[in-house]
Amino acid sequence: MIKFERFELSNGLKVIAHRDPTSPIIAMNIIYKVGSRDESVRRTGFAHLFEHLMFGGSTNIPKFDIPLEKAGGENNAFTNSDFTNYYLTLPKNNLEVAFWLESDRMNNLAFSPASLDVQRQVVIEEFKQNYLNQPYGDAYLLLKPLAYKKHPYRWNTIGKEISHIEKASMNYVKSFYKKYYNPNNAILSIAGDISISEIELLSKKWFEPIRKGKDIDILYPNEPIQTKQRKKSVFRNVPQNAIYMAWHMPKRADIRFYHCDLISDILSNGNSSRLFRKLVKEKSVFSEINAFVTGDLDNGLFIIIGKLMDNKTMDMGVEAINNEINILSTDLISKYEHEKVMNKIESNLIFSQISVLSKAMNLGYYELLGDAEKWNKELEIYRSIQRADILNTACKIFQAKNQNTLLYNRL
Amino acid sequence: MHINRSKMPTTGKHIQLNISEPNMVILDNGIETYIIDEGEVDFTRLDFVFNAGSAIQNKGLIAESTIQLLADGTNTMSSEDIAKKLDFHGAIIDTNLTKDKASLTLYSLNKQLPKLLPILKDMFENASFEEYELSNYINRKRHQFSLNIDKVKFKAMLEFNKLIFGSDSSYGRVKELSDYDAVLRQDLVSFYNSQYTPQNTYIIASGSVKSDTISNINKYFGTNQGKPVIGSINKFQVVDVTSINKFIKKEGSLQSAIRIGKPVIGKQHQDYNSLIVLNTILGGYFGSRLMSNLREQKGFTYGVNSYIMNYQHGNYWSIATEVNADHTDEAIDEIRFEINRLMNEKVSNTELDIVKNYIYGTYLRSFDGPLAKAERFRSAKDLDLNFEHYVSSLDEMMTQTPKQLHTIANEYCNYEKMIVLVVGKTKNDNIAI
Repeated sequence: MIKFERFELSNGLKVIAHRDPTSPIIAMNIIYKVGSRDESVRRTGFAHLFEHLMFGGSTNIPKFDIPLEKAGGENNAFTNSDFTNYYLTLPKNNLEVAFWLESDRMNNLAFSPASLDVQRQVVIEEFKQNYLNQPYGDAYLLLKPLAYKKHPYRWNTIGKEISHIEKASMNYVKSFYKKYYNPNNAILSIAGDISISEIELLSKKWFEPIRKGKDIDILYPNEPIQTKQRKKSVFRNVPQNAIYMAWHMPKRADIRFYHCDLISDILSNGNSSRLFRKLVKEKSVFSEINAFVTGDLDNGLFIIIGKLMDNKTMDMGVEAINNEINILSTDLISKYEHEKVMNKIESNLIFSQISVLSKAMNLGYYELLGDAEKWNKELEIYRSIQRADILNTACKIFQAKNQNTLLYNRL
Repeated sequence: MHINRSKMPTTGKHIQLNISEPNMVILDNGIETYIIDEGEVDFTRLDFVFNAGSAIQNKGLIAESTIQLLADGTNTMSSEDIAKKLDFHGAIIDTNLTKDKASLTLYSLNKQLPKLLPILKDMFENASFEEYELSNYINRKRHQFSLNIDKVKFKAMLEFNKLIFGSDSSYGRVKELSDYDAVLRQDLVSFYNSQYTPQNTYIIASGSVKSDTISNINKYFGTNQGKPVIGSINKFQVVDVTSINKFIKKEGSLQSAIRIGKPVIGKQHQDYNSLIVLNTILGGYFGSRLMSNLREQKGFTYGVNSYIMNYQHGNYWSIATEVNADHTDEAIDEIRFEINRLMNEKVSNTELDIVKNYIYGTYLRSFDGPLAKAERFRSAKDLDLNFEHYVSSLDEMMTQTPKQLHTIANEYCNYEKMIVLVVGKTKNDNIAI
């Protein structure tokens, strides 16, 4: 049970504070509700590029990292389809430095042209390093547009193509900032040896003067229900054939998300999981295989990725995966498997409650999902799920017409 | 309320590192067990550390295969039995291999521990390494290796290790594709019998460590007296290396992996703490000179860093980065420039101040909580050091002066004596780096 306090400033910023008296470290997390799903189709990759620019100087702080390092702190950030997350940790007696730093870049950026020039290059290098210059790097760039036709999830957070990043202009940077980087579009969470009243005081002092932005009310285009199985085949210079499969599944807030999460655990969490046991160890069809859910705020994907052994064909691999999927859609999982995945969920949840950083990040994330208290209810929700629920959801998800297959062939 | 945003809030004094040496319990068979009990969450981490690192093997992949196959069958349980039981009780298991040590880490809810410890005991004492499991494992790993070797980064890591320690030395040898065809069951069995003994083991228990956990540890891991050792283990070999430049061409590469470095002094040496401060200035944190230059000013790379690696019998200093292949030569020039700058000019007090505070923060973070402490204790223990060493090192780093650092830089940072490796492409294939 993680106890926390929650309040909202007059400008709409939500603040969550959790006290952990055992740590000498404070963790501060800020979520801005903007991700790659908010981008226009001609300017993809922008939310992530913007994350880089948030380190390129605000009105009073030319370089974010220098004063933070001076205060013994460290920080990082990530962007995904739905939101952008900034986090930092520092010694507890430098708490106010964190407020000063984060509030200044929420208040106003310096919009330095030099920073934009350089970060464009840095992001292009990141694009090359992670998506172009390594085997299978472009798989998601291919898989996403295969599965999504209308919804902005059809492009990746890094962007559709490098040219979009090259073209990013300062005018657009400014309007993006004005639209999304506002207190009423953010969630601030703090964990460490703090007093709640101190957090209230500091939040009011540093964040409350920041002007509220226009409320954002975005409707994302609904992805039409897929009616026909889709397949794509590509040839690349890679060491082994690989199969990527994706099925549409419900969004994070839907109870069926939890069913899917459990299904992915049954399939591939741990050495006793079905895919590893049967397809890697017993039948040696794959050298490695994984199943996971994307956990997006809008309807997401259930993904299976397998790297084929040399002596197996693509058809054999696809058939082997489909067999396992069919078993899940016809037979109840055993009581033993059910209890096993629950025990794993419990271990992982408790484990995530140990460090102050993980606590700050999770509280912010669950608040984004609607209520930070949901983190404390998570185990209960998983426990309420019956074997029949899992079977029902598997039946719905794993229909052939809902399937997308990317065959990634070795040249 | 009027606030002055242009002024950084004052920072507090450094908080003293709160670390007392872990309690040590000696099990009935002599295994040293270190206890770091301060958790509030009902969770325990157990590290089992064996003298079974890759430098001890006399054939490629033996140390790695042994630690990774421990859970794939014992005399009484099949690989599937073990996997089922570990998963059923929610165990999270990690294995790790360095040149010196192999280790297995268990994370578990306290209530599950009594079910899990007997399984681990069986893995440590009666692993069976069946032919089927071995060949299945080797086939999968061969696949993964051929995948990784295609990445400039992975290739550079292996090649650089050979250049630093000498490709025929215990530390310098790296795995090669052909090793995957040569591993025999008997190699694993001998290695296991000689290295996974009580004499070669220590344990760290961290988290919320209850007294019944400690007695259970003794019950399950304190009875084995070990087997008589058959066969001999590898003798540690050192090879002298001289500074070399090496270029490995990779067609169609968008990025080049660059490694620049040299063997250096270890943690016990009096100059070591100064060197750590110099390394941090150069490439040890986000605001470092290399990051500012190569990433923030030039945009050549997504990241560049420098670090010192410590092992029992050797240490090296390295700069590592993957850069836009079209700018490989310029990136090397800039790295050389930054190394020379350490020797040519004194660091300013402002910069040194930032670096010291950053180092202090890193220390504070890395001792935050029992699990993090276990990690730190392990790296100290593997070099025959203890927590006290961290406290005195930190104190010493905090007193470094620009003058001191300048002297040390001139002793250790000579670019001409460094090894330069590039995997990827350069403007001129016969580069004179």
